[in-house]
Amino acid sequence: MIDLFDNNMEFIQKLKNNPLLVKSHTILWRLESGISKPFETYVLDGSTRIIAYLKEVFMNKDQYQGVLTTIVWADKPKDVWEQAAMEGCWEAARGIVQAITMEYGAVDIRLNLIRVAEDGHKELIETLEYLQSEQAAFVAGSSIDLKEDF
Amino acid sequence: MRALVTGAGGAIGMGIVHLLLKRGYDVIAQDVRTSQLEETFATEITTVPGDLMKEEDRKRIAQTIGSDSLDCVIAAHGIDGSGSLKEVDADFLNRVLSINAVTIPLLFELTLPALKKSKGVFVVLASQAGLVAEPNNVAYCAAKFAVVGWVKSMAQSMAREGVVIRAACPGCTKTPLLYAAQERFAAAEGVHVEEFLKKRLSKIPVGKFAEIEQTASSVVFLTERGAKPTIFAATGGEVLY
Repeated sequence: MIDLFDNNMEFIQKLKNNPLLVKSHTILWRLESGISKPFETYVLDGSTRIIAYLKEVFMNKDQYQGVLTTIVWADKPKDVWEQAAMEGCWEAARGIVQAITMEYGAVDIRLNLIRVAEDGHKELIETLEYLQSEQAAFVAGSSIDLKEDF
Repeated sequence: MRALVTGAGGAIGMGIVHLLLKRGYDVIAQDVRTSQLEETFATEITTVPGDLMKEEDRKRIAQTIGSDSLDCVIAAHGIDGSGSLKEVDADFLNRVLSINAVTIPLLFELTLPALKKSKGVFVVLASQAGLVAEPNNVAYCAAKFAVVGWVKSMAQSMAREGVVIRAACPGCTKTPLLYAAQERFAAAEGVHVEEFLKKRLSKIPVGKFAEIEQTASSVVFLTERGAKPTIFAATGGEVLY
C-alpha cells in the first residue's frame, strides 16, 4: 500500500494483514482534519503526489499489471471550509483516475477509486475484495463513494 | 452594481467585462497584466494588476474593493493544463493546480465580506473538463474537477449566509488557449492538428466551437439572482450534465 501522506494509520496495517488483500495494489489518500491549508494540502499536494506515483506506474506498466485502487479516507471535517476542500479533493481524485483511464485504457492496469469516512473499515474491505474479484473485471475508472453525508 | 472579474484580460474575461458593462456594472478587472484591458476599456473599468497566488497582490485586490459591497465576483482566470501523463512534472502540476484550483477558495475568502453585504454571487469559470475527464489532460482535469467539487459543497454551506456560488463549465471556445491545447492533444496522439480538430468537432453535437461571446454570456447568466443551476454546462452538447 502506498500511503501518500505517510499517515501510518492502524487500519492500514489491518488491510496489509488481510490475506485476500495482501497482493492488492492500493494508494491511501488521507484527508486529515485540522490542518492549516486544507484545500492546498488535499488538492495540490495530494494530486501532485498521486499523479507522480501513477506516472511511475504507467511508465513501468509491466511491473504493475492488475487492479490499482485509490482510497480517499476523509476525517470528519471541522468546518465548511474543510468540508468543501475535501469535496474538491474527492472530485480531483475522480478526475485523475478518469483522465488516466481514458489516456491509457484499462487492459493492463485498472484504476478505481473509493471514498470512505470514519467507521467505514468493514465496507472498505468488502469493496476492495469485490474490486479484486473477477466479477469486477468491467469496473474501470469508477468512483465508489462509501461516505455518509455529514 | 459592482463586480470583480479575475483573469479579465483573457479572451473570455474580456468578453465577460464587456457584457457586465452593458448591464451597468462598475467593474474591477484583475489580471497579471492589465494593459490590454486599459487599452480596450480605458476609464470604464478599474484595473488591478497582480498575481492571485501572491498574498500581497490579493491584499491589493481587497484594498481596491474597499469596504463597499460586491454584487458579483467572476473567477475567470486560469491557464492551460494539457499534457500527457508522461509529460507532466511536479513544477507543471504545481502551477496548473495552484492557478486553476487553489486560488479559487483564496479568492472566495477574500471577497466573502463584500459579497455578504449584497448577498452577492460568486461564479467560477470551470470547464467541461471538470465534469468529464479527458485523456492527455490529467493536470487540468484534476484542477477543474476539484473546483466543481468545491463549488457544490460551498454552495450548500453558503446558502444560509445568502451568498450564492455557481460554476460555469463551458466547452470548447475559440480562444488562443483552446488552440494551444488542441495542438498539444494532437501531438500527444501523433496526428496533425487539423485532423485532430476535425475529429473533435465531430463529437460536438452543435458542430462547432463556441464563440467567446457565447461562453461569456453563459457565465454572466449565472450572475443573475433567482433560480439558476449551481453547475451549468454550456458545451454544445459535447458533455451533457
